[in-house]
Amino acid sequence: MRPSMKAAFANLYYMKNIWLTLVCFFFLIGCSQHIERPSIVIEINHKALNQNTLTLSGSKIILIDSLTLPFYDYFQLIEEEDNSYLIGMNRQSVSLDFIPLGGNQPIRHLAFDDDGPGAISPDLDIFHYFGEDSIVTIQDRDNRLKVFNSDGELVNSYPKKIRDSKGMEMYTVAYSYLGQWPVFLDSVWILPVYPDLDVKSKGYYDRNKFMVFDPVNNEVLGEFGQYPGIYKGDNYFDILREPSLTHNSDCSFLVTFPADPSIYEYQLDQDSVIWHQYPTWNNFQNEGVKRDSDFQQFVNHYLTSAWFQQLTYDPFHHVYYRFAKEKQELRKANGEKKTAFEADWMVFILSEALDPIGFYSLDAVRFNPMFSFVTQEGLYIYDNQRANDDQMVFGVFELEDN
Amino acid sequence: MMTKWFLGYSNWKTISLLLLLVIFSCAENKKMESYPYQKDFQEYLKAIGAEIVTDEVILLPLDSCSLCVDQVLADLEYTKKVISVILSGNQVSNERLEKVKKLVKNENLKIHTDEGSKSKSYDLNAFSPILINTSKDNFSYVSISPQNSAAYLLE
Repeated sequence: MRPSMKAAFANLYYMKNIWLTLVCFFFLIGCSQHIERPSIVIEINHKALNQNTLTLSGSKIILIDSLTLPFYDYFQLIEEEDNSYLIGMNRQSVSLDFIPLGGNQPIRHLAFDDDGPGAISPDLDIFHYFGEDSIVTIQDRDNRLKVFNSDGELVNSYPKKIRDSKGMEMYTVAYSYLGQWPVFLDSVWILPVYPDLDVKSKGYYDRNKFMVFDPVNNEVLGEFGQYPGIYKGDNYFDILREPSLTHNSDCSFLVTFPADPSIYEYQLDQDSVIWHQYPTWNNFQNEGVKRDSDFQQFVNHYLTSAWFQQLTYDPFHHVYYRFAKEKQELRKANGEKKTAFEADWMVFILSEALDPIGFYSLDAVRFNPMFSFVTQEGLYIYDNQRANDDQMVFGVFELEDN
Repeated sequence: MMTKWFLGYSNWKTISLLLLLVIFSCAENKKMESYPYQKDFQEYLKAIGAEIVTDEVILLPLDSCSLCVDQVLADLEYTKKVISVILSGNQVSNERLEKVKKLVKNENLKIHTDEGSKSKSYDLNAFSPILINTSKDNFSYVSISPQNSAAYLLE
């Protein structure tokens, strides 16, 4: 055989292998239901229009019994028989407390077993009340999710295994006090997750933060919530790493990160992410600390630097509230260290299109932004000022034009 | 067969080597690192009026990591070591306070309380229990976890 013919056959053989590999590759891609979105980034720049603000219209005082806590870090709002209830995860008595927000209904306590298969851990990650006979609990490394009835009896348990598109096992989590919540839809659940990697390692930030989980088939259908570049550099953010997830009525999922002014908008059926940018909030961008810093150095940074808290959707006014902490000095004049709540806090108001349309300066020493929610009456924010121990108090804030 | 194997290798040299290995591994487990907050720590002691007469001091924020605190309290109940214990914390459950009360009768524990939670105003890097060795000019420290608590507090 002539050398050129030999080379041609070798090339053909080589090409055949490539084609075979490509066919196999596309076959595998086609078979896979697990989609790592998105690939297209659409950038939108937003300018601030300060037309709206909030006013403190009153206080909501709820009388509580001795089994109820005044403050819950993880909770859910439900409507049941024309009554609104706040369900709080009581980590002291390991129960769910059903607290009516109106009317004269008594507070109900759903206590779980202390031991055995029906027991749950005080540091439970996620619960969701679908209905009386369907209360789901999820613990991060537990490989089964549990379903309880309203008497606290275990009705069933189902296997749960969550792997990302790279095959790594991911564990469910909800840093609710940072505004990180799961979203439960009819057919899929959007669960915040973490990989079994050191949070200081760069590999931690190469993973998507939210998994689209099909509980019926115990299957991950997709994932989103990629860390922005600021988290992938040399600096470290400790708890300021955890993004919040906000769901609005348009089936958009908004992901925000404490260190980043941007908002990342995802839709489950789209291969794109809309990157909403806010140059006017650049002074809230957080630079983090050096990766080899100890926890003391991080805590001092946490107290002094600016960062964002959760983004909350108000379906009654079709606006969003974004909580943010300003920079502050570490110490008071007397040398004592300040707390994070002693900083100036802002509640930014955003339109449905995510344009900033106003703001409110929040007294966070009095009103705790880490326990807040929206009802038809307004934005409820936990009020530290209460006359008696048997009270749970909220400030009720209403949206108004400037 | 097993006995023969064991006898064949249980000479003094082998035992010595094993002992050395055990000591080495313990020393590795009990490694402490330089404490960069020595100056703040000394100012903190003055602020709470605590005079330290022991080589080891444990800073015990009672409202921190539950598993760590509970393990430290359990180990301090049985320790024979002479250690200073500085208790701090704002919101402490009654159950935990009862465990603390039990420690008072241990004469080898020199207990001090930081009643105004002054620790929060000092850079101490003590957001969970830490053990500080003050025996040398340059202090060293280690974070105490449920995994290493017994090694530092009981042995």
